[in-house]
Amino acid sequence: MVFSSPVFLFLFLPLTLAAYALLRSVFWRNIFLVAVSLFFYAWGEKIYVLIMIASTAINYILGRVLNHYQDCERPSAAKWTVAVAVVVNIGLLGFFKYQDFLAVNINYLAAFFTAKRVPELHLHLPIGISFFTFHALSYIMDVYRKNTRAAKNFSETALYISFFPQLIAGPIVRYKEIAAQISNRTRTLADMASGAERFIIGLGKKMILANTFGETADIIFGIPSGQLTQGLALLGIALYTLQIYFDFSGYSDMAIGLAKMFGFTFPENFNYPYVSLSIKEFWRRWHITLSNWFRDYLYIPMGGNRGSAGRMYFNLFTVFFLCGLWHGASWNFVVWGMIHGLALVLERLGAEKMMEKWPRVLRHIYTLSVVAVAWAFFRSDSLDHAVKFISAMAGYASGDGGEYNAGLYMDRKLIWLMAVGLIAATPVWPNFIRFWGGVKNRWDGIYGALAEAVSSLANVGWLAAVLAVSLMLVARSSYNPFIYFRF
Amino acid sequence: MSIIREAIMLRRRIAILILFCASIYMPLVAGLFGESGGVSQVENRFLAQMPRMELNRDSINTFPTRFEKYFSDNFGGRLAFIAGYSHLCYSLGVSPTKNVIIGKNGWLYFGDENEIKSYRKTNPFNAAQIAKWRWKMRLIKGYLETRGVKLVFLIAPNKSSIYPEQMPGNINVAGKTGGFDQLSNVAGELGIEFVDPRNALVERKKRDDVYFRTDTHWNDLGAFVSYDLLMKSLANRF
Repeated sequence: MVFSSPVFLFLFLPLTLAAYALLRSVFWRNIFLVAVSLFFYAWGEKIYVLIMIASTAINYILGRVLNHYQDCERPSAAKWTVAVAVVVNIGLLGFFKYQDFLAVNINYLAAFFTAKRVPELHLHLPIGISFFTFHALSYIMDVYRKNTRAAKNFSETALYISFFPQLIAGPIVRYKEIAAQISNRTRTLADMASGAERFIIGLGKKMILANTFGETADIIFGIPSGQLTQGLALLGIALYTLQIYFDFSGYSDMAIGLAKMFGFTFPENFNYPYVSLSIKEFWRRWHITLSNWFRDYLYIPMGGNRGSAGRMYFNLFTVFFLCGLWHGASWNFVVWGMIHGLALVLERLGAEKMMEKWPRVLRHIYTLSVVAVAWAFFRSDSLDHAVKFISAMAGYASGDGGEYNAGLYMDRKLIWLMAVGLIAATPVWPNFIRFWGGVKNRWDGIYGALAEAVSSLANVGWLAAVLAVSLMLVARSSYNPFIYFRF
Repeated sequence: MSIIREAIMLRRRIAILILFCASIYMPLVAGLFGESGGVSQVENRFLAQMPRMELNRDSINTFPTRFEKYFSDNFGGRLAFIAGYSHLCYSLGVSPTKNVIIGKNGWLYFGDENEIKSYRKTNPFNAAQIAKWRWKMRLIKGYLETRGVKLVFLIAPNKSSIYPEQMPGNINVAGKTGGFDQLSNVAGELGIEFVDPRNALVERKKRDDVYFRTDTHWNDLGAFVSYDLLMKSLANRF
């Protein structure tokens, strides 16, 4: 089920919220949330929900077994349990997500030696498997490192892994962060209101901004690469850069907001990544929970910064190779990851120190350029397409601008929304809100109250507008008129 | 913080919750059993019907998709939202649908992909298509000739070719030949009389509108201009 669909917004969510409010104990509330989450997942994935349930069950058992070995002071048995968990989880992920990719590449190499081929199974990819696999692995690792005890009953593990707000696309929540909330949480009016507010903002980011940018970005990325002009390529990459940010951060906003409405506090996932002055900073602001995951469960276990410089660079490249691959079973994604990895290594090798003296604007341009070029690989259909697209961005475009040109797409709506998007991608507005909050607080008595009242009205009005337009767009996507129905 | 301020903040939270809950509960309350599977006058199609689920694997597996189609077509308030969106867009000078292009001075044009391509001359007939047209036209002409019937070919031009100046400036004409001229040439080659109303319409438009401003068709005057031209060419024979 998709958050921005009528079925979710007008059927699943209202019924779930209502039933949740009627239940009393945390235990029954958790059972209920697991049940609706499984329904949510099965709605889209049908029989494949069993894979998620199986993964949850296996990890629950392994977690208990691990605790048992730890309590019995059998460290090597504990290590083996972790190894089994890693193999099973990665195996599951690898099988469903990467079988085709592996087969294609193995066959490419095999072609030099033999006529035998590995079959491509074209398995259905259970949605969210990348996320719930990482959830499960972080759970096992946290138990192993004694950061947390394994869940005592299955429903707690099940809720941790299957909870519908984060099941499909994160944020990646550590068990340690959420365990206490699963067994014991309260939900205040303030929680529900801030959850609703967060959800509305996320929905707006997705429907009003991301979808609009995506529509035109899709068209531009669909143009035959020989027909691209520099203007088209730059417009296309700008739109995609905005699209992916608003889509992903909007989704995270919706997830965080939904969780809040049930009394859960999720970690933040985005912190205005496009204001970063270096790639190192970028990864502290973009998909924060994923980069933390890779840092804590891959980079640091591999040795991290310790050891020789060469070892550190190897670690960085490995992490970003896998990070790229995690995003998709294709070399495009690996190249995307490696571009970031390379930039990070170069920054550590001295580029960062050198850039500290540069004016902010230049550092900003450097960062966004790397990010944009990497996105070109992320988005393009093939490596060839990506290379041609980036060449066009740099000015080596072969299109003549006749049939395809950037002007075709620059209508009033797109220009305005791009302006909004550029501002919304920076913390300009929240900084103003904070500043204004400080100002308000210093006013006493009637002026302070008046200021508060005006702010509150503006805030609610703004949310109402965003929600109204978002819902209009949701309704609009079902609008499918036929001009010549009777002919 | 003063008590008044806290009270205001509480009111704000309540207002947000009311706004949110009203929005997500409204379609349920408005009832989704109103116009189930009826014909949408606005969209000119049948709306999805309430799906049935039988106890077999196929039916169960496809139920979510069928139900979503049904619910997306029928949820309470849907038309209000769609209409609201159209009004909002139009008041901002933006077209709410791909099918309509907002031109200059309030002129509207049909936004169909092929129509735009015709205007921009980016989809002329290729050699194979021309050959097919030629074959078709020769066939028809031959058949009519055996019955003693004269063939006259008239094409009604797209509004965008008669009123290109009102089309939005960013949609550029990219090609040299359009389908209209190609068919005119084929007709000429085959000796078929081709009546081309374009010049007459362009002349007449200097005095009055020959196409509707907010519709894609020619109006009665435009039709008359073409009719007049056609009749004059036929009059030569009688």
